[in-house]
Amino acid sequence: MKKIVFSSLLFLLAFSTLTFPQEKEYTSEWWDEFSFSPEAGFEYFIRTITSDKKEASTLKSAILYLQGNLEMSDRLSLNLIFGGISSQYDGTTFRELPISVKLTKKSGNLYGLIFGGGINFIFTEYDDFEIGAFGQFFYCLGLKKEWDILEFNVSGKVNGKPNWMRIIIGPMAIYDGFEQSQPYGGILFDYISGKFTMEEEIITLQGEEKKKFHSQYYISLLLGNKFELFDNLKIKAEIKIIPTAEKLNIDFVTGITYLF
Amino acid sequence: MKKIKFSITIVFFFLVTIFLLNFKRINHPPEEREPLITRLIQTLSIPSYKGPFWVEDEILVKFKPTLSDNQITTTISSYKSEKVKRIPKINVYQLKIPSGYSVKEMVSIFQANPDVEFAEPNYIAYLTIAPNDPLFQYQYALENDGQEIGSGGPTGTPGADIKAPEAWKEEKGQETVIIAIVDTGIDLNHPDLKNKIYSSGYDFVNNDSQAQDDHGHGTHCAGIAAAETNNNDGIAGVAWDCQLLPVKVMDKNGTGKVSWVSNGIIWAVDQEAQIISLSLGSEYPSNTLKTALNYAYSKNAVIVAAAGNEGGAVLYPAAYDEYCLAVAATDYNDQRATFLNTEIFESNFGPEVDVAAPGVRILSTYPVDLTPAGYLPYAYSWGTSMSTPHVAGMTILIKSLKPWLKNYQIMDIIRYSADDINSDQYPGKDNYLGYGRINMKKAIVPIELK
Repeated sequence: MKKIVFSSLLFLLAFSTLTFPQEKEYTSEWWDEFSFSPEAGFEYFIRTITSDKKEASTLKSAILYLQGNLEMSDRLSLNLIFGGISSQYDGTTFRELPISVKLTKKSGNLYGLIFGGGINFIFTEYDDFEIGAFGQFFYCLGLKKEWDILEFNVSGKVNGKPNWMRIIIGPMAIYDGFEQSQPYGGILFDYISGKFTMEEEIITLQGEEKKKFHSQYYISLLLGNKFELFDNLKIKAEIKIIPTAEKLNIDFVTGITYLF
Repeated sequence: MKKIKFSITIVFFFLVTIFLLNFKRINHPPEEREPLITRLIQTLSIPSYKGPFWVEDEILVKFKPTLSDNQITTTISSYKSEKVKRIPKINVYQLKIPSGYSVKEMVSIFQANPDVEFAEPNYIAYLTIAPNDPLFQYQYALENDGQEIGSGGPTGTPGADIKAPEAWKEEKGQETVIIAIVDTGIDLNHPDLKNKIYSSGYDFVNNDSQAQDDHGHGTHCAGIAAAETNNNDGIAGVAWDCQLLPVKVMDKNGTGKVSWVSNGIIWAVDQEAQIISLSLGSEYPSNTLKTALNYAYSKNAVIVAAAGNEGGAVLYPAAYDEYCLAVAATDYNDQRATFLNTEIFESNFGPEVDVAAPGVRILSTYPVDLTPAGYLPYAYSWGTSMSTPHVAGMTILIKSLKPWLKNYQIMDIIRYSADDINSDQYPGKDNYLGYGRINMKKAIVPIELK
């Protein structure tokens, strides 16, 4: 957790320094087009994930993130994202170890860091609507977690470490007709793919399993809104729903953006 | 107006596209793309039940006895429900709930009525994994509910078993796994075994390729490990799916030369047997036997052997610790089998004992030709000979689930997952039960990390 806090502070510091050149070189015409807005937010999502052997489990993640948005023009903006993540891999089972083990809610949270970037691009405008595309990629670097095996008559332990990436891409429509609110929606390809490495050591029973997994469903409906609280402060609330007949796959995002 | 139309068009487009994309996958997930015939067969056997867990338009309600029939009828109709049936004697009403209401909602509504004693969903009961073999109920070793072990027989302690049904949810065996019963042969025509026989085996006593059992012991052991299961007949084996290789090394009197036994072990391994079950022994060490065991072990075979029944030192080959998993016997109360509680035998002991398994009053297959007229070809038997095939059967399941494991790893899984049932007296590994009574669930079902 200390690592996450420290890294977050570094990130903030890095972005705050980025603003100084902007102030100094305000006379430059090309630079005037640029604007920077930091965002802090929280995301929670539930996804059905599946391994190569088609066994489904549930990934539940909570993310605290910091995002730096750089508007290159009216139509193009880039962002960098960094944050901490806490996840549960409920139902993920490792059968290629000498003794099979399974992660459940009782297995606790696995922590990690996320970092990545994204792009927003507006293709066209129609009346008060803007039609564009959104894309984001981030990588989750999991931290190792250890569990003791208590069920056996000898002592043993396993430790696991997940790493995965998430890619979100798709068309979006933004309504710009309200003064203080900007609703938007889209259909997104939201895909998670990764690998969970689990190591086991129970005296002579030693093994390692690298379990690949990916999201079972990946077409989501995005609905969101940005509200202008003050002239330079916006909050956003977003929901992504992946309709499935089985488990609930949903995503909530809330963030606050400061406009320089 | 234009804006509204445009918005509606976009939302409609979103919804249709998403539903088409996602539901297309749901209807045909890859794991469900199986031929219909497979699905039917699975349904006819024992499917793992995934719901629904209650009837979706029914609830069960019991009214307080102070209410008259008329009052009950009025109450039911006031909730727009219909009486389907009344369970006499206990006066519980099975009600059809009105459409638009969920079972949970209606249960809450009825529970709020002070005239109602209880209201609950009409839950759906389902079969747990239990084979349909009619004699399974007497096989306390596989699942001990404290049932009567045979008509008029004793009752055991619930839980004093090897937890087979729990393990079967994870693995029932694979036909690619071959277990050699190196013994008095196997009744090749036994109705509960004939479909599991890999080949007619080899008879080292009479030097022919028909390892037909003329004693009964080998058939009994074979049934414990791998009788045909869920076939509506006889008993259940520890391993539902596997193949039995009969190897006859003991004569009709139940004795055999070490040379026959050694030959049998080597021959079995050469026939691709991955598990060797040896419910036999001798007080005397033999280099020939040890060399044969070394050969089998070097071919990655798991060798399971009986500790013996004399209340003395562990017999050979079980005493060859580096090659064999030596098995002691427990009873239906999870006690070590001693002369005091069996009046027939006492399980041998010594540092070589690795694990224990039930070996008292074990029901299994018996040769048809040796069965008296009017009796079923099944019999009870006692001894570490009966404990051994329980462990061998468990080995089949581990080998089926994880064929890449080495023999020493499988042996350690069996040892480490055992229940230390005599920890009050002898905590940890001891000379009597080794690591303890085997526990198939712990060895096979994934452990939930906490």
